[in-house]
Amino acid sequence: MNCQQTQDLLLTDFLDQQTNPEQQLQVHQHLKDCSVCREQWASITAVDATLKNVPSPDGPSPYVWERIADKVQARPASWLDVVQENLAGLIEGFKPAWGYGSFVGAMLVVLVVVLPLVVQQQHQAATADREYLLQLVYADDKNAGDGDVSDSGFVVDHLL
Amino acid sequence: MADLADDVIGRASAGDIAAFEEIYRYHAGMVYRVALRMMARVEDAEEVTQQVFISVHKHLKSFNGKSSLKTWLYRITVNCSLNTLKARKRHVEVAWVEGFDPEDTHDNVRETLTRGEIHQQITDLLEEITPDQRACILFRTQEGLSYEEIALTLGINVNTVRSRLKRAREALLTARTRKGVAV
Repeated sequence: MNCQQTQDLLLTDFLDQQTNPEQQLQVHQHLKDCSVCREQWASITAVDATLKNVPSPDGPSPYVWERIADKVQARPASWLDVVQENLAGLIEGFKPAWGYGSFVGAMLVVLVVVLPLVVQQQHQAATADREYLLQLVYADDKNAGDGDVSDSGFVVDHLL
Repeated sequence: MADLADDVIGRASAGDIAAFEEIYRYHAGMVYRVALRMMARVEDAEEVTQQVFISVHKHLKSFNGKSSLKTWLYRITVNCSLNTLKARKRHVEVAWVEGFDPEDTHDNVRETLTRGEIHQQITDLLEEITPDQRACILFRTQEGLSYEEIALTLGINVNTVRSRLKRAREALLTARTRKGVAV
């Protein structure tokens, strides 16, 4: 191990006790033989000790909490917070036991298969209603005796 | 200091201000300590501490507990500090154009940030390295985090942590020699 390799390790893994046993042995061997690296190691450990021994500061002044409390209590819930909260609650409330993937798949099947059937049934029901009303209006017109049924279709469409 | 109760985060996120104050009392010292080392000035460190806890209060509901609250706080503190330092740098650059003398500010900063000679020298040393390097050095030497924990906290890989530590220590050694720092 040369000086550069040794000093790279001294500045990182060796100082921070991250080296493996083989690397440790090599570094120790190099330090034993190299006065330049020994001097560098002494400087590195001095700086490290200085930084580690910095006295911890006192905490922030009491005013900091007062300002924080004022701000968080005064902060109105944004519309985004409200939407997120309600949406999350809604989704959680409807969460199916078998998971969201199956739930989405089932919804797609409903859309593709069931929805066209429902639309078709609605259309058939509307047509039947129209025919039934036409019969009623036509019968009323004939009972009135004027025989003019040309505007009956318009009346029925208006009723529907 | 007694550990925080298990449900304190849940209660705080539900709007219980007393629970949130418990979290503040428990972690404010650590947040302030990191902020002070990053920012150097007491008033800046208090401003960052305030920003951190307001941000925590706002996002507490989205805290998923995958990382510890302490790791989350470390990350927010460093990000707030870096953002404030960037903003201040822009401000000083603008002020310089307008005839502001940055040397005066530097002297004033030194007056307000130091409490003793050792503190002064360490603060001077830390000013010699970049904020990213400073964060790595502080987490390693003062908070005692492992390389992996620093990487997780800062969202970088372990080799980047190693590289920043190496460059920071090289710069600190050079500065120490140049300034003739006795510590």
